[in-house]
Amino acid sequence: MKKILGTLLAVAAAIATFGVAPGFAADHPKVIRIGQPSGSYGKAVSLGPVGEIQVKDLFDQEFKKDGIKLEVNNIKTAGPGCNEALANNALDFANLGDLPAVAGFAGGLKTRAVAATRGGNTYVAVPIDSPITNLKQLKGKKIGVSLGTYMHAAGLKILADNGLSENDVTFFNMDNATVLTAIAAKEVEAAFISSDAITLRTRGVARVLYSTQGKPVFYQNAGALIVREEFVRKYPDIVKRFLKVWVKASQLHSFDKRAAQKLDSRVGTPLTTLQEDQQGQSNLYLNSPKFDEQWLSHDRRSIALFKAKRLIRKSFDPEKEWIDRSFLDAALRELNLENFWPDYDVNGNPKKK
Amino acid sequence: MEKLGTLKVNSLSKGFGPKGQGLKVLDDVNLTVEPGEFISIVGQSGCGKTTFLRLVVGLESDYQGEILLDGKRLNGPDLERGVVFQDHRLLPWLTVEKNVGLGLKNAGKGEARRKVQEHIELVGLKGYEKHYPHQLSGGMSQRAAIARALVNRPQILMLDEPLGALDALTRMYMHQELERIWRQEGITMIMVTHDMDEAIFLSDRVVIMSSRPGTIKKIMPVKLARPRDRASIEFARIKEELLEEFHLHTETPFAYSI
Amino acid sequence: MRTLKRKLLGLVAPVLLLAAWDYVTRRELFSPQLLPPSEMLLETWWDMQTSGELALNMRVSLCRVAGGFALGAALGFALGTAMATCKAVDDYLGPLFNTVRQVPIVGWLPFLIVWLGIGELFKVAFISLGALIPMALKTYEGIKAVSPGFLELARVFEFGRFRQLTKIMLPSALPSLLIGLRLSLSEAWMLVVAAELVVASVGIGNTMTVARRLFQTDVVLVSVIAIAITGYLGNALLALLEARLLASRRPTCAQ
Ligand SMILES: Nc1ncnc2c1ncn2[C@@H]1O[C@H](COP(=O)(O)OP(=O)(O)O)[C@@H](O)[C@H]1O
Ligand SMILES: [Mg+2]
Repeated sequence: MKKILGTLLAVAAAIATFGVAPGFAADHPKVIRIGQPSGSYGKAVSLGPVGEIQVKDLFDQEFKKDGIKLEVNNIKTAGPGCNEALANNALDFANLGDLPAVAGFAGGLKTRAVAATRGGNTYVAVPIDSPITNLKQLKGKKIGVSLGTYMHAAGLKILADNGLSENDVTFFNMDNATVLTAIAAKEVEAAFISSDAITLRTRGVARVLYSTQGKPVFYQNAGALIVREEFVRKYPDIVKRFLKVWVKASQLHSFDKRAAQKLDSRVGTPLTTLQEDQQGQSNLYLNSPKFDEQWLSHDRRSIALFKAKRLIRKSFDPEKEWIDRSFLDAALRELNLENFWPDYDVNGNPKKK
Repeated sequence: MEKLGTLKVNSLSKGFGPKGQGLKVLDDVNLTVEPGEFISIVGQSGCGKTTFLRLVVGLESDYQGEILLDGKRLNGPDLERGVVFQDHRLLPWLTVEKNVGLGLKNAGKGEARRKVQEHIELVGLKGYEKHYPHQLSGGMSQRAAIARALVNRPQILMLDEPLGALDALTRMYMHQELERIWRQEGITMIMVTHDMDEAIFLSDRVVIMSSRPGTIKKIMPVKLARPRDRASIEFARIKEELLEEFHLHTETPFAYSI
Repeated sequence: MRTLKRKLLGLVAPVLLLAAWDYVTRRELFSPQLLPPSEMLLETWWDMQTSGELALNMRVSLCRVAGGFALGAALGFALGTAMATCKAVDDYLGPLFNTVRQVPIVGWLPFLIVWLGIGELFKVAFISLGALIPMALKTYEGIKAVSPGFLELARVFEFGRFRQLTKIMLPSALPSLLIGLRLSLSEAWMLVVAAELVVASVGIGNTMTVARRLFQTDVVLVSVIAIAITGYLGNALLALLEARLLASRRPTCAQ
């Protein structure tokens, strides 16, 4: 009896949650679902603007009055997993690295890039007692990497600089957490990973052979906040308001680098790792949502490279086919932040006004 | 002193079930078979004919009494005693020639081929060497089985209703063939049958068994000159005598066993 | 004539499926990234064919399948034979075998990786473990199902264990052995993909992983079709072998 009652209640709750009033639902969704790659530590918290949104309650300030909730999905299979979720309409927004964002669009996913994201070094780590001393020695080696992520993309660039192609090495696809254990267990001879390499080095299980720190910005990640095209079409106003929240969060993350790092370290990355990783990088640059010269040239070059490396089978023009600046521009204007972030040139230097 | 190849069965009893103590199938069977003799065993279905044959072949153990060949107790099957099962048991994946040569032991390649060929010819299957069992008729299959049993030149060949499944004409033809082989090979044959004509046509002695438990009811010598004439008065008289045994001593009408 | 007609019947379902697919993709009932249109698939197929990546990856996977299948089927055959013919082996290994085979082979993945690493050894071992089980099972069943009459024949002819096995048991179990081989082969194909999905650098399973990671649904689908066709051909080859080996085995009309 109790069981039946419980079932009835559950059904009633489900009907209430998923809506029986389509007219009402058309105005705005009940929930906005955003996905982003989870950290290597599998914690259910987020870094970057999403972290700010969660901590500072920015989303509720904007949307609570409409009864709209934010659902953050930290996806273990990273960017590629986000793409699959977008394809299934299981996500509305996703915060993706350069390769997954581009690959999704090139693969036929109907998305719009609505804000730029950037930052994210790639490291080449080797087991602590590895005989490898330079990148050229990676030839013929087993390399662990989470394929389809920005680290995969950066890895290809690093290999190319050393006269190697992906065919000269053996990639082993693993999720981020697995790469870390694989390098510690010496199951792979090298790995293309994020700043987690610093943590591994500190723990004494790995050596950092190379990092993109201080290298031209093309070696670093430059991703995007993307949104399903259908969602844009259905709820343009919601997208606009969400971008306002996003820009505000980006601004908060831009102020104090230390505070930003502290917030980011909630995902499990030690603060010292974050500090070392971002040393010498402008916090303003790292958090700029603008589609400026630097971002666009990065994206165009990436698309060309991915096409050449057959990571995508169809090339496209991001400016013409993909990016929708209107929501970002409106948010910057409304928040009066049009000049908060400088425009960066191709080399990542602020442009003189 | 008995002649070499004499089979002696002394007060043989056999039961199935736990340790042979269950249902008694054979009780106090006594029989001596002279070398070169042709013996038929007739009896009701289920009276233990097959069991008797299997005991003599050596496929059944746990019995009371003795089965002696030249005074020695049997110990399992032996190439000296060949058998043709009621179902011919040709291996379906082998040709006639391979089936016939299946049990051949201690023969060089050339010798083996010669022996196989010889026995195929003996049973009249020349030209069918490369045929598979499914390409043979019932009579041919039984003949192949006989050749296979003969190829090791056993002293005694046991046949369990070898012609039971054949039509009357083929069976009559096979009777002549069997007699020819028996004479040519000069071996002992013990055949289970339910066909009185067959028993009389071929046998030196007919062993009549009664059932539950199986015992030897009577042993009837057939002293007719060979080749025998089925239409002769003597033949008919012996047959009548034989049938009488059954009518007199069984309440139920005679049941054929297959 | 009739066999040709029957063969053609086998084409009906695939053709209908293709037609339905074409219709659905043309009407865009599903988005192209969920179900790529057929001409896009052909294009991708051609691209993968001419670039050599399809051939290379299929070859690598095929080698793994061949290695794992050969090893697994051989071991399975030996194990099945030993258990079916030797009571002691059956008593000692039977319960273990029957327990192990209840575990989905994929369940062994983590252990195999820990024991053998992620290289070829691991993959071949994983595949052969999977191929071993149906082969051992079918060998065991086949030998156990040998007609007792035939075994008596072996006794009558005073066969030793070896001759009993080679002359009676194995030939009699052949149809079952061939079924075991077929099951082993399809298991091997399944597991090579599974193994490569977990860790690999080349191989068709890896192609699928990478393509999936890069959101290339068309590449995934082409790979699936390539595997299906190769698997079908392998099975057809075994069927051909079976037809030849069993050609003489028809029930005898003389029973
Ligand atoms: N292996 C066995 N276990 C138990 N009973 C058996 C076995 N073999 C035969 N019998 C029984 O023994 C009796 C005689 O069988 P069988 O020798 O085959 O008779 P027949 O060949 O004269 O028809 C039958 O009642 C049969 O059921
Ligand atoms: Mg019988």
